Formats: sequence, C-alpha cells, structure tokens
Amino acid sequence: MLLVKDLVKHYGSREALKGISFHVEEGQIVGLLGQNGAGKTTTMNIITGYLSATSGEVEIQGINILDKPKEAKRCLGYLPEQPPLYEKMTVREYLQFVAELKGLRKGGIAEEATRLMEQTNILDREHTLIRHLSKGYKQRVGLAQALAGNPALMILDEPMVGLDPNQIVEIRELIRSLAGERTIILSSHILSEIETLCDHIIILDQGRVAAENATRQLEAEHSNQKQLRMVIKGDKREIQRLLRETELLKRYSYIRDVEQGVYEFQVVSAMDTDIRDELFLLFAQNQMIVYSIHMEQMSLEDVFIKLTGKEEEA
Amino acid sequence: MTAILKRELKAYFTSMQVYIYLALFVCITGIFFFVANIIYGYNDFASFVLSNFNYMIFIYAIAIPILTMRMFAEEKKHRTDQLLLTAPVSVWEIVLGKYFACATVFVIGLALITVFPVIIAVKGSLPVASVISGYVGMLLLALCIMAIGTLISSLTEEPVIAVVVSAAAGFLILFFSSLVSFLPNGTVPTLIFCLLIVIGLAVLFYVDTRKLWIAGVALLAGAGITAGLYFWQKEWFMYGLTTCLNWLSIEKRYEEFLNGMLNLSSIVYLLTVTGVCLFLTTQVIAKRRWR
Repeated sequence: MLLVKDLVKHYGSREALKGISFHVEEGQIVGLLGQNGAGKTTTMNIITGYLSATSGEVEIQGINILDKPKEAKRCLGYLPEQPPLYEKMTVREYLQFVAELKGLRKGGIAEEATRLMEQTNILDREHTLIRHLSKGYKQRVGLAQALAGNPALMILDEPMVGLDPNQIVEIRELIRSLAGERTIILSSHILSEIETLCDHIIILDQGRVAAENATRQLEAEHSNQKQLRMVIKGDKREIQRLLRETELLKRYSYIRDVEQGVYEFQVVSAMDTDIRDELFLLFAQNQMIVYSIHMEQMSLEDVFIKLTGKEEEA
Repeated sequence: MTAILKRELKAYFTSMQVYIYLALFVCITGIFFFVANIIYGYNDFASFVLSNFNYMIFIYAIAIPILTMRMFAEEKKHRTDQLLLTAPVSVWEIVLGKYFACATVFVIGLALITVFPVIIAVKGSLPVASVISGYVGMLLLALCIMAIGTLISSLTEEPVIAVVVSAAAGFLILFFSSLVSFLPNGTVPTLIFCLLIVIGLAVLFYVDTRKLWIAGVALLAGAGITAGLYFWQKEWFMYGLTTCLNWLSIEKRYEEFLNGMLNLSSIVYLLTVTGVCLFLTTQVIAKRRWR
C-alpha cells in the first residue's frame, strides 16, 4: 500500500530525516509516534507530496509520488495538524470545492459532499460558515475533506490536538469507523490514543525509525523479563531478609502494603532463566504465601520512553 | 483548474473587496471621463482618460495590487496551500486558476467602463480604432502587472507586504522611462550597471543555495562575459545602458497602444513578461517543497 524508502530531508544544514524506511499494509491503522522534532510531520508532508525529500522514495499503491504526483495524490487524503479550511465558505461549499479539486465529475459533487457530511456527522452544519464552527466541528470538516474522493490512504497529523475530552472521543470513534476499508496513518502525542486506535506503530526518534512493529508485539518485545512483581503474605522483615539473601535476585524494592500483612515488591532477577518457580518454593519453604508473581509488561509509554529517552504526554 | 477558478471567483464576489474595487474603478474612470470628455469636450477616450498619468497610477499601482495581494499570501498564512498542493492538481493549474479569476474581475471592470466610450459614440464621434487599441493595451498591461503581483504574492505570507511591494512595482513600471532618463550614458556607467547586475545575481545564487562557491563561480562567469562583450563590441557599451533599459520599458510599449498602434512586438513582449512571471510563480511554489 505505502512504501517509504530511505527518506532523507535537510532543512538547510539541519538533517530532519536521516533515512526513514517503512511499509504499510492495506487496511492497517498505523500510529506515527515521536517527540517534537522527531520528523513525524516532515515524513507525512513528504508522503503527501507537500514537501520533497532530499533523497529517498515514496510509493503509494506502487505509484511514485515524484514521478506521477497526480496519480499518487488521487489515492490519498490528508488532514494536516491545522485543518486547511477556507473560513469564509460554508461547510457544503467547501466540501464541494474539495470534491471537485479531487477530480470528481460534476454530477457527483453534491452527492459526494452530502456523503462526506453524513459520514463525519456534520450534516446539521451544512450551511454554516466554517469560521463559525467549534474546534471539534472544524476538525470534522478537516476529516471530511481528507475523505473526499474516497482515498485508499488517509494521513492524519495530530487529529486530536487541541480538542476537549468529549471531542477527542468523538474524533476517535470517527477514525475507528473509517478503518477497515482504508489504510490510515496517524500521528499523535497522546500515547493512549495511539495504543487504542492503532494496530501497528512506528516510533521516530531524531529523524530515524527507532522501532516498528504491531502494537502488542512492540510492548512484548521491549518488556523486561527480568523484572517481576510479587505479592507476598507474611512478616515484612522476614520477607525482606529472604529477598536480600537469595542469590536468585539482583535487587528488590518495596512497593506498598496491599492489606494487613500482605506486601507488594518489585524484584529484579540475577538469572537469565525464569525464576518464578524457585521464588515460589523459597517463600513456601519459609511458611509464607505468595499471592501473585508475574513478569512486568511494558506499556507503550514505557517503550516510548525507553526508545526515545523522553516522556511524552500520557 | 476550473475548481480553483470557481472558488476564487466566489471568494472575490462574496467579499466586499471586489465590489469596492469595481465601484472605485468605475467612479474614478467616470471622473476622468467627465472632466476630459464632457467638460473639455475631447472625443478621444484613450488619449485623454486611459493615458492620463494619474489614472494609470490608480489602475496599475493601486487597484491591481489590491486585487492580487491575497492570491497566495493568504493561502500560505492560513495553511490552505496544503490542501491545494496535496490535491491531484499541478502547480500550473493552481497558479492559472487564481490568475484567471483575478483577470476575470479586471475584465468585468473593463467591460463596465465601456459605457463611457459608448456615451461618446452616441453623443458624438468616437475614434474607434484608438479606443480599441487603448483597451487592448490596458488589458495587456493589467495582465502583465497582475502576473508581477501574483509572483510577489507567492513570495510572502503577508497580504499587506504583497500589496505594498506590488504597488512599488507598479510605480516603478510607470516611472521607468523617467528614471532611465536620469541615468548617465557612456561606457563606465554601463559597465558599472552590468557589474551590479552580476553581483546581484551572485547574491541571489548565494541566498538560494547558501553555497559560496556557486556565488563565486556566477560572479566570475558574469564578470568574464561582461569583459568579453566589452572587448568584442565596445560600441555596445557607449549607449548600452539607456538603450537596453528603454527597450525593456513596459510603459513605453503601453504608450504605443494608447497612441492607436497595435505593435505585434509589444503584444508579444507584454505577454512574454506575463508568462515569465507566472512561470516564476510556479517555480517559487514548487521550490517551497524543496526548502
């Protein structure tokens, strides 16, 4: 569906992209993650043909964006971070213009505008001037324009930015409803949004692809199998003594009192193998009960921090 | 292109700007018509209205820059250029769509002021050929200045800057011959002028590429060509400066139309300047993608 190969982009002497490559399969929702300045918007702008890469290639459905820009652009819809809206037009006028711009035949333009308004649930604002719309509605109009011409690939740059929580839920549902029949690439600062919406993630860091995989696989891949959480019933001092003295562990830390006489600890294994059985037996032999013991799973946020070294908005 | 043309026309006619423009255009032409053709009784509309210098300043240095100022500057400011440049249309289609919309508004104004020569024709004798060539000249000069305004609008994000620079360009075009007459003639001024152009080009290359060696090569090549021409044809440099600049003068060519002459070379020249400016506009927009 989309092939991005060795993209390099220089802004003067600054290298914004340092050889980005990835591919996206048909029907996927792909999340593009990265800190500010990681190259998300630049990558999206190059894919859509708004910017040219210093070197590298972009192919949409096998069509090179530089060789055949018109054909390639026909396959895509783009919602930039700031929706490109003509504020003095009504919603209908604007969407009809976009439909015509995307090459729809004269007879089908009005129907297309109606379809877009129905799909994005803005039919009630059909004759309202865009400048009189709320931020949430403007974002919907932006999404509607990206959908014009029923493109196979949609690129959405920070579609949730600046929206209130209710509007975020609305737009998220809308994007989810658009998935399946088309491929969507979206960037966001809100990791939880990406985690909920996307089935594939690309993490960019300083102009490079730091990681790329299916969301769950990415979390599993970067999980630390040596880090465990244990909930143990017994005397706190005795538990701590055992944790300190055993050769199975490198270190441990107390987390919290779960209830009277029940404590939660985080432990780090000193072995390369799974030590859960040995830990269980150790406490059982010392007349203490292990309520739970599990390997710590890394969240997307943890993976992001690990790969980029910085914390984003969670 | 038709989608952009239609949108631009709709944008013009849903704003007050175009109605004020048309009203002023007709009113001011009417005032000049009233004074020259009614009070003084001259029957030649082209020679006494269209060629009036104050009238020309109003049309070419005020009215047209106001029409062209929003063209690309506003698109960039509101980021709506992202919609156009990521749509399946070429940069040429975008530029021509906007340019033709602007030209349509001007042609509407031109059609409205046709009422004045018609009044002369009804009430007296009208030199039809002179009026027709005057109208052709006016249209060609307007198209040319509009193309320059389009280019200027593509270079900035601020419509105010676009209108000021376009107005300055309009003034420069109208006063060009007068300014040229102040320039000294002779070999040394011509050589200095050539050198200034070469330095200007070298600076432009440097600003564009940020590479000193490219600017240096351009400077050396330009200086070399100038020196070569000087040693080859010294007489070219005697009156070269003013002859060359007078040949380039757009205003001088416009005067020919107002004097009833439809000179093919002038038509071709004005259309060429228009084409070059529109081509440069497409290049400015396309180059932005490579920034």
